[in-house]
Amino acid sequence: MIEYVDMLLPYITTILLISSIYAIFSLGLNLEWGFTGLINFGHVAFLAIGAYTTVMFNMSGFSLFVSVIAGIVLSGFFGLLLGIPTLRLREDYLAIVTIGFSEVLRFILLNEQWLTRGPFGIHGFDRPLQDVIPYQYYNTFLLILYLMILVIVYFALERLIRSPWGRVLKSIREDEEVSSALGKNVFWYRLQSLMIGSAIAGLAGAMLAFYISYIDPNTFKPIETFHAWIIIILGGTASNKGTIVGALVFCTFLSVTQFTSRFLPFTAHQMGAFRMIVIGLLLIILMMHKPEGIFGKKEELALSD
Amino acid sequence: MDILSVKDLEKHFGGVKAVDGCSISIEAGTVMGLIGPNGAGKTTMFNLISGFERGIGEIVFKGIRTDNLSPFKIARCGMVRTFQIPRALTKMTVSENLMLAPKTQLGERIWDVWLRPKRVREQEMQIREKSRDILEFFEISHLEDEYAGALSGGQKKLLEMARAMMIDPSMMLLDEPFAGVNPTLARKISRYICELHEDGMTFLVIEHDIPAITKISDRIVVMNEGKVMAEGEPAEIKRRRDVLEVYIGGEG
Amino acid sequence: MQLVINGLVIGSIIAITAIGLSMIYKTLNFVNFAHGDFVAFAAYIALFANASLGMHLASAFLVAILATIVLGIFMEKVVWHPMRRKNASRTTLIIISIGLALVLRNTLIFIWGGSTRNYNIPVRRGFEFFGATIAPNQVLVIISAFILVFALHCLLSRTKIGKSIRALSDNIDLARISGIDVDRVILWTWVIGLGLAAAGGVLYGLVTAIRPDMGWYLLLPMFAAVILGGIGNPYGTIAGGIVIGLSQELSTAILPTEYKFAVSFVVMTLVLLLKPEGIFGGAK
Repeated sequence: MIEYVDMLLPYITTILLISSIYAIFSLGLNLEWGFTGLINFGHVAFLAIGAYTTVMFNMSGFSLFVSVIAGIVLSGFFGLLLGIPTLRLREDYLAIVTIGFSEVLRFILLNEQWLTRGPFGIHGFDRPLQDVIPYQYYNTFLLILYLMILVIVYFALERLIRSPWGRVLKSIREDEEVSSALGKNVFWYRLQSLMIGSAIAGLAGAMLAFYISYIDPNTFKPIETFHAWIIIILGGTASNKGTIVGALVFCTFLSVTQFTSRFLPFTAHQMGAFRMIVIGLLLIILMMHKPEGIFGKKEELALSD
Repeated sequence: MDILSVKDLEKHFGGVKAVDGCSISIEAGTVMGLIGPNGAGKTTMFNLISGFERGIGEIVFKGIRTDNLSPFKIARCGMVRTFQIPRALTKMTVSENLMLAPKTQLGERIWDVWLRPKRVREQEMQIREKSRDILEFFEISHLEDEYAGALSGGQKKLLEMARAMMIDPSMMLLDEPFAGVNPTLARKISRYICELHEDGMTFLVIEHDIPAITKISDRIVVMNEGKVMAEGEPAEIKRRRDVLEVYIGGEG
Repeated sequence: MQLVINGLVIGSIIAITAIGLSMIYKTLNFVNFAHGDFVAFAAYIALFANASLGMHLASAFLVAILATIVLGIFMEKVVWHPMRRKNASRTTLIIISIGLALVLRNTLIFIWGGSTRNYNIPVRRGFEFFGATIAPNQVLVIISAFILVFALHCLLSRTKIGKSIRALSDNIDLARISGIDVDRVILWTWVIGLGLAAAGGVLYGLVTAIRPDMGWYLLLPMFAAVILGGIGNPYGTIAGGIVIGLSQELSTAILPTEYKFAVSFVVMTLVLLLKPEGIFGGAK
């Protein structure tokens, strides 16, 4: 029995670690989509900006603390830059433009080798308290740290959402003309939402970098954005609790299916593709039959209009 | 003293002139009715005045040129409008709908949510008090925690007016407040408008219900085919032949 | 000059495949993010028919188009139509199309793996043209594109179904009231749109390596073409496609080749910000 626990523990730690990173990443998206109604298909761009900025600052000699702050701030700043010209666009145009943005960013990361070492990626940067914590306990330490960060982010977002600020957001999500008629500057609120969501994604990016100790442009493909979308839809859009649960379920699913490949006659590549097929089908079925997800409230659904 | 003055307003949609050179002045504290057959351009006038459409011409509200301002800025100047088909925020409760409305809420600024939580809480309480008072005035206190989507059409109309009141506007633009409303409710709405009017509110009201509008208005403007056809006190307007013709001819 | 030719070739492909996207966008009022993967699907079906079943490429071409259309009709009956009846919002449909894109693309990976493939056709030498080399395949692509466009034009302007599609594009409610069977017209829109996309896909496979994400990489240029030309305006889309194709290829003269897509992105964003109805104005 003890042997099982010994075997399982690092495995569970890994799942929880990835879940917490995805959870934070998705919480940022949930603010943008679930609470503000913005279709952002380029969310992964900010994961990348956060990761790369943090790492590059650190490699240039700045302390980890400063580097992470830089990552968060720069992600939020790029959110601002993206938002100013594009947030006035209709939702479907916004979807297309944001996807284009994240792909173009990825191409820049791939090609500007002088800056980002291109496809070779960056490694060798510091990790939090790496000199203090012994190697075998490091992941556990990281997990505790990340869970704490997750809790902080969660409560901060909840506070924001329940405030009058969050109330304005809800009104914009449902009917921006009414909100405007009551004197709310709709554009500015959308922009704030995008900035904060992007900054949160940047934080997740830094966390991701520290966890895998290596980043390259391929870590930041568009599929990651859609992972976040699935997570927030699964957990119930506009439910932060649901998003966290969704992240856990999703990551568990991804990890568990890595084992089941032993029982199924698929190659590794096929397993990966099979997983994605299931995810795609899940997305379709969810949207068709239970778009409010596990925790969502039907009355609050932003989609059924 | 004129609170609103509109000069030579024009709006084209493709080849159609929805509003074709209209000029109106509204004195502060008065109720002005806006009538005319369907398609005369009344709602377009509303949209132009409240900033939801852009056109040509000059609009001055409380001494400020507003014809180029975005709707939210015009709302902040003190002009609020309702919509022909009531647009309640269905996914929020009635209380939330109302509490959304007031201007300069500290809690609506991110910094203040974090840095001045106590002030925000105090303000929220004040706003809630106010919303309860207004709900009482409109006699819908029992609906406070209902989701606005569950309300009947008439209740939504009252919600819209209550919400507009929360802004402490100087002027209210009401788009067909009596449309599709049963006589009891219509009488109530009429009474509310009169009470608010007595307290000094200025109104511009679009209506098709001629008896109702003539009862509450100080002056009436008649529009037809994008132009102002007639303007004057209700008694005069009712007597005018051309107005009657336009209505009987236009509405059958 | 070489770049111009390459540009025309890829432009024609973008043009043809994008017409379907544009038509579906206009009629059904949502962006079908899976459109690119339908294009890829067609290329793979043609590959299968040609390389594995040994069919001549021309027959494979037809098989691919047929298969894609069947798939499209299946989706319409099983997913899109029921969702329309439920009054699903545009966003819901967009997200469903993303799910569909994932399923399609990964099915391709699942069956055929991630490596690149090519049709089983004899390799022929290109010939000289004003200082550049044109491959016969490229010529085939351009000629086929012309033929398809011409066929489309005849269809849209002369047949009853073509006129119904145009009416629906203009004003769906008006069309419904004038007695047009909207569901049937929508079905035909899918058939024509996906048929063209499939044709484009097979042609695409003639000039590039067949990879599972070939469709996804075509998506952004397709969007750019659609927006440039005005949504719902097939002729605008054609022009848009050629313009995008040309600008992408010509840009490689001054930018690194990987930034080709940045060109589509920039063009598209500029158009959206400055003239959202497109250069040739469909409707908003």
